[in-house]
Amino acid sequence: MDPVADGSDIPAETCGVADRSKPQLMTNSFSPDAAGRPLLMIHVRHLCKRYSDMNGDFVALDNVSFDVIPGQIYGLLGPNGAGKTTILRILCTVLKPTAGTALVNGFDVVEHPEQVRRQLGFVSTNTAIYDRMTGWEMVEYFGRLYGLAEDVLLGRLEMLFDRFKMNDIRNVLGSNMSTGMKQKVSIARALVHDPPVLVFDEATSGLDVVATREVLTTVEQLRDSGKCVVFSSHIMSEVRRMCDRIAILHRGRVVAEGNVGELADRFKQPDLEELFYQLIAYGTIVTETVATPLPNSGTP
Amino acid sequence: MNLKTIKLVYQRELRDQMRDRRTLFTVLVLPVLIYPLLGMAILHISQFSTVEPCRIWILGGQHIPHDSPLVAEGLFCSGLLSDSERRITVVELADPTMADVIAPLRKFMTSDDHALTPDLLHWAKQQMVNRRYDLAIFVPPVAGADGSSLASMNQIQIIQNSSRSTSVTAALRAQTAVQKWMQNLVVKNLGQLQIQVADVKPFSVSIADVADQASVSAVKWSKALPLIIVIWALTGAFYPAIDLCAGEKERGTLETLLSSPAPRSDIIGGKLLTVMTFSIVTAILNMVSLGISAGLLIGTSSNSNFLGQHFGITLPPLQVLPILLAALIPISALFSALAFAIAAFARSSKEGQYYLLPLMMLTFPLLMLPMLPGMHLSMGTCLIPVSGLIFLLHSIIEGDYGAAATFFGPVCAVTLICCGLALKWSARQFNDESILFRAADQISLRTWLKYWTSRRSLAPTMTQAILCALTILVAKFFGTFLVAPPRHWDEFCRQTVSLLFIAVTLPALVFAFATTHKQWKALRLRMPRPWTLALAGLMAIFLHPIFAGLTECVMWLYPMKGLAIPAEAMMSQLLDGAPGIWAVVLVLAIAPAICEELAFRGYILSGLRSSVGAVPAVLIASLFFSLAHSIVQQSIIAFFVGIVLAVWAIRTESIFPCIVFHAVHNSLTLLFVRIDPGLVAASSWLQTIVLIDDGKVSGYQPLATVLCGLVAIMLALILWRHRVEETLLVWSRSRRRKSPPIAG
Repeated sequence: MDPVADGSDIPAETCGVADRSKPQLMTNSFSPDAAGRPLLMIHVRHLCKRYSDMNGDFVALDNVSFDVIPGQIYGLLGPNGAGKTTILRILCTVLKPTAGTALVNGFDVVEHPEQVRRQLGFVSTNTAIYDRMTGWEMVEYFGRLYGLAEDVLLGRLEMLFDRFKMNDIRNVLGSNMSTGMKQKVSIARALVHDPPVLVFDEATSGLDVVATREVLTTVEQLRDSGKCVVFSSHIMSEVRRMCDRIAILHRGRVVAEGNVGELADRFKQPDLEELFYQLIAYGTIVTETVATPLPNSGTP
Repeated sequence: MNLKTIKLVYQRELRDQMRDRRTLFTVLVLPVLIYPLLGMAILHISQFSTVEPCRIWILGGQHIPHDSPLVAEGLFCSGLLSDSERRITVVELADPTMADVIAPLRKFMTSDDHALTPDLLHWAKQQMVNRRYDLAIFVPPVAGADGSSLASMNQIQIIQNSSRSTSVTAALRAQTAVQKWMQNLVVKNLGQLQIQVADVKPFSVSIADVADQASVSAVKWSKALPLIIVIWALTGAFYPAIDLCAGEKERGTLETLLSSPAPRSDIIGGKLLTVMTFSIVTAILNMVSLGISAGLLIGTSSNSNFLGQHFGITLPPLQVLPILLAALIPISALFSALAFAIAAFARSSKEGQYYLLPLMMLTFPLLMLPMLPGMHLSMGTCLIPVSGLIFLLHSIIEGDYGAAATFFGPVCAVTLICCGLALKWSARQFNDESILFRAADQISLRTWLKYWTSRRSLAPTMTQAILCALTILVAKFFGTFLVAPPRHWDEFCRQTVSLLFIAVTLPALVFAFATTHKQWKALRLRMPRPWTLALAGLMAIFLHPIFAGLTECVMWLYPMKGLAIPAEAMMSQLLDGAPGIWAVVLVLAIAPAICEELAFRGYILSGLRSSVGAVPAVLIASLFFSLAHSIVQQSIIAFFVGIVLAVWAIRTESIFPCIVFHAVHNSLTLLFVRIDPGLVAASSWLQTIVLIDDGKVSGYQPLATVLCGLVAIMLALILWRHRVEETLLVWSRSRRRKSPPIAG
């Protein structure tokens, strides 16, 4: 209810504030350098988000940093309320960070929000489709909002409706669609402008097995076509199957980051689900420097 | 702003609303149906009102003179009522011996004053219920007939039961018939005594109307049409606004839209245009439906012309329609923006709908003001938002085009300013993520207290400041009505100072201690440099002619009316009883200066300033300061004085200069009217400053006002040239800045 606290409330040692006085259009700086390091499509540093309400201050994100490159699925794994949706909302410029920086394809989320939104497609449980619009109208509307030329838009629409086998729901109103159909339309809506970055926030939530498999396959195909994908979930099997790198979030902080193999080696726990559980149950202050299994770390 | 995006959003929202059955019904179908249904209801009611029969029971009918009968064959005699009413009014005479048997009735008939006793009324009520009569008429014996004197008038008593509508109808008919009968009786008696009726009743009074029926009708429509338009413009805006903001939040589609590249300003533009379209269409449909229904009801069938017969209403003049349509655009824009801002705040459609009633309630006084008798379009009324526009419409519909042309500009200016402010508010609400993604708070008194006490900070928040201001307003309201009017100066003195302390200062102090941990800072109790106090005093002196001129303008715009005049007279009497002018200054200048500054420029302004910019903080604090004054004219002037005081408070971070300014200003206002005109006449230099009109000090000379204004500007520039820290004796931040850097 209360306004979000400004960056000055955040201790400097916790949340570094970026200097936004300089232009952040740094597409060239993310190009593969001489050493052959890949282009960073998403670059997040020291991201913080604080809310203030009747129950006091609430830190939704605390000093979160990560990078994602094209052709990679980056998983955000965490229990409910860990801060996954807040990170993704900041990336989509729906929320503003209290401190820290986030760049999408070189565009700062605070300085160039409209450019950022053109770079990505956002599919979330919170991004529903319109009940009183047909599937075709919905995707067409967003294509127009992205400023696609009529002929390009028509081509994209036909391609997407064919690819996702949605031609039979072209003229069905959103209110008459099943959850799986709605999610297909949502994905088509997010892809209509062919963005380089895709954000999936709990995209399989509430879907049946068939629809879940279709969504996951689509995400993999997108990764294979060179898209940069951020995939948030609390379902271990999905994350294990899909993600190239994982950040485990707990109470707004990244408690572990790496690919599945690295994490297993570092924490000496091959079972991702067990690793996740231990990190969440005991690891409120566990950092990546901890090299022994967490239950023995002595933290209550 | 990108017009193409706005158009896209607008077209989508419009199509979306057109596919929503609930919105369509409320906004489009209901207005079309409501007037024909209302018309049908009126027709039915009119039928009921003409065919309702009633039964009347006359006790003591034997006392009616036989040569002048009231009743014939179970009905009132011919000529006493209209034929249609006479036929359905059955009259029965009671048994003549009843008065001998029933004791209370006998007492009534035989007593000299024919007083109605509770027993008799009780008996009559029972009889009316048992015998199914709507009315009873008691006719006592004719005085003088048995040789007694005619000193007392014979009282025919009609007994009705006003809790039953048929009884009231019967009473009206019986009264008409009996009066007509008595009139005939008087004429007959006078004839027998050979006296001309004109000798007894030399004059009769009747009223003739020079206005044609169209003009009378126009006046009635001028009251009704603007009201209908405003109410429906608000209703038509509200439901789509709720669906487009709160509804989208609830359905999860708002985030989808916000994650598209459409800028928020374009989304707001498209959505607002949709809301406005529905508001305009709803109001137009209402007018069309009302016009057609009223046309059918009034114009076509003479039998069904219930409105025309009973209320003198004819069809509304057609030439007013374009004017109403033109006025509809700013009205719709204003209400659309207000509804949109409220809808952006609501978390769900259900919550949004709860806000309709408060919005209506806040709008209602503005709608009702033009309905009050004696209110008309003037420079004063035209500046009131919404009301001014309705006054303008009244004038146009009534054909007073001169007044309408004169005040067209100010009305448009006020309406445009209100629209602009409402639009700005709605955009701000929609852009504020803490409002857009507002989560449900657990509201409880305990949480609130815990929240406030645990979060005591340097400065109060805006919410706390507004709550404090509202507490002061409510306390002042109750305080003013709870105390009895003072009878003498001492009582007035006690009441004024107590009210100021309890209703104004105490809430500010309580809030300051409850919500902040540096109360002196929240109340701006910093010690200023002496020159700022002197500067504030001088500025109050040199600004006084400007405020005196402003007071004159306000009095011209809104002359003292109603209760304000006796209140002012009473105040003059009380002040005359003061022991000296020092006492008046102490109670009415210095005490309010201290008490009000602590609250308004201290706590409230600090709270507002912590959340909003200097300009809105100054304006809101001044608005509350203005509302704390009970007389309207005083409130308007207080608003402008409040602005100057708030600027001083912000520029010096201290209320002490404000106290000095306030006290000097109030003192000058009190002393100015007490200047002896003789003294002015004797002094040539006083004559260059003070204006004497009709033997009284009426204001400042124009040249003196201009010169004083220039000096005031110079003084303001002196203040402006100094940084805030230079105006204070102690300034911690500046000292820190000057401290030498640590070596190494």
